[in-house]
Amino acid sequence: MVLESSLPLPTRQASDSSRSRAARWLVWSVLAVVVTVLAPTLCSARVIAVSSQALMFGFLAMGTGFIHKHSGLLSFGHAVWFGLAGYSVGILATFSGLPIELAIAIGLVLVVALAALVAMVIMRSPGIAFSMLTLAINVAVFELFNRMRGATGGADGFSIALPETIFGVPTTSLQSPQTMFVIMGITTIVTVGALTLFERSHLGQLTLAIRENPERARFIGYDIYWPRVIVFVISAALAAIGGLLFTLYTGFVSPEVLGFMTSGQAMIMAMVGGTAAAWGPVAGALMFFLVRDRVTFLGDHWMLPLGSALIVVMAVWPTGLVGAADFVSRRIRGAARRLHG
Amino acid sequence: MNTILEVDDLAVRYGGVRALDGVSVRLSDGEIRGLIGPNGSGKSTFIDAISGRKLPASGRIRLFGQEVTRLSAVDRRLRGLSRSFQRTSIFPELTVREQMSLAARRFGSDPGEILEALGLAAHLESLANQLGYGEQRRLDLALALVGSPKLLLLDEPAAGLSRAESLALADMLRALVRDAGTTVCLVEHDMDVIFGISDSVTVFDTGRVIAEGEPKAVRSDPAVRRAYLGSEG
Repeated sequence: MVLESSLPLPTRQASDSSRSRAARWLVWSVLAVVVTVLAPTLCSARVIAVSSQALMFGFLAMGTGFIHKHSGLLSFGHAVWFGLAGYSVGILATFSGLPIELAIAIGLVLVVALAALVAMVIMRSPGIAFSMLTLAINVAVFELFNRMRGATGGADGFSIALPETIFGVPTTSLQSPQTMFVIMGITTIVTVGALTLFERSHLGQLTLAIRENPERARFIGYDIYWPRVIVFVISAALAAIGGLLFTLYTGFVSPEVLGFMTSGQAMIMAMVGGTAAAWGPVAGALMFFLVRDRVTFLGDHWMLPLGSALIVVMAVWPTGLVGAADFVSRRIRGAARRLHG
Repeated sequence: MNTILEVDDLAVRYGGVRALDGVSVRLSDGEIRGLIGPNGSGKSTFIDAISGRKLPASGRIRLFGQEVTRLSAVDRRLRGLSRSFQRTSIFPELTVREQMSLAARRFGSDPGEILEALGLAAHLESLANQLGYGEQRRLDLALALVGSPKLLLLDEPAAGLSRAESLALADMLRALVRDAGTTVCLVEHDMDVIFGISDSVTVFDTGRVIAEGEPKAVRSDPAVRRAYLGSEG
């Protein structure tokens, strides 16, 4: 068995029947939608604002978690795709005169195409070499955007000229935390559902098989290169969606969003949440932002408690929140079964 | 019988070490060929080179009449060459059903019969890493059998199996050749298995073929007895 990463990979229990799984999924989805819609009226404006941002970065964390789950690889550079989506839409919308909707479409296509080109080169590299390459690309892209003052505003970034409406939605609404929270919540639920379906698909099963044992995958007749490339592209696209929504929300973009610190934070979110389920990195992102919001009194040292928490999680519960939830859920189901004889 | 595998003057190097040197072997359609030899004699390297896991430094491999020396392992698998591994090679975190379905889908075949024949049908929903060692070995073999390969390379398939399991495996291989016409080439240290089921035996020593022929003749070959069989012969 060849495993690319020394970090804990998702572990599975023997599968339930597909019907009970679907029923459980439906219940959780409905519950998540209800919470998303009600939260803005139940929670403080500050919690909603922080959670909105958390969900945007949750997409970056989902991208990082997705590539870990489906290829066993650790990317230390996914903020590149998060930031590039923001920059490409920002530059196109501000300097080209294109309608914002077209700028969004072109921007996303450009980022995904670039991710595909990069994937075709770096997905041939094994474990640590891959991680180092992603880090190197991240540092290089950060430096590039930091220094291209003419096009990117350099370290200061630039404000994006957004029209009054985007896809018919007033921009002021998009930039309101309450509205954005609902949009992000629904988008996240749909995306988590889509990623879960992907996992059950033929391609999803194949990518998991390749992660588990690439050699055996070849000897049952599958090319292992292109599925890995597809995994990278999907993960980059997830990060790009988050970056795009974050840019529209803030109306501003700066090199900070594509710095390797952002990639590292996304990795923390993914690992704290756990990558065994698509919702794990989102939960990790919410925890990351909400905890960070509580420790602002530490000033520049706010990473200290988060770093400590990460050490504890990796040492005590390396499968993250997903592993913990799975453990609790199995205990409850076991108790319920015993109760019913 | 048709020749389905022609190996000419094959050499494989690991760094400066010649793991195979000037190996030429022919396999006929529907035969069971046993490969024996001391550890490090080149048997597994031979299987690796034939299956595309290891590219040869020189020599030529023709499979089903076509040159495949530089073809990838995937291409060879799709042409009907399959293999199992010395160390069990399965997908530990996938269920038996998931991995067999994945393999079967590639060949548009139904894995049901294989699972029944190998006694895995009762474990469909089990994760592979929850199976016992013998069951994992059978799953490895089941994955190799998907798609009805025309040539099956088995690297120590009986390793770690009990006596009863080894004999059952030998019976299964005989049935496979009889019913599906599959050609089998197996590396095995269990001499009872090798001499019990092989139509012919090739003996390796220090990367070269030192003897080849019917089991009885090979068994009494003085060079073979000296190099490998010793008192077993």
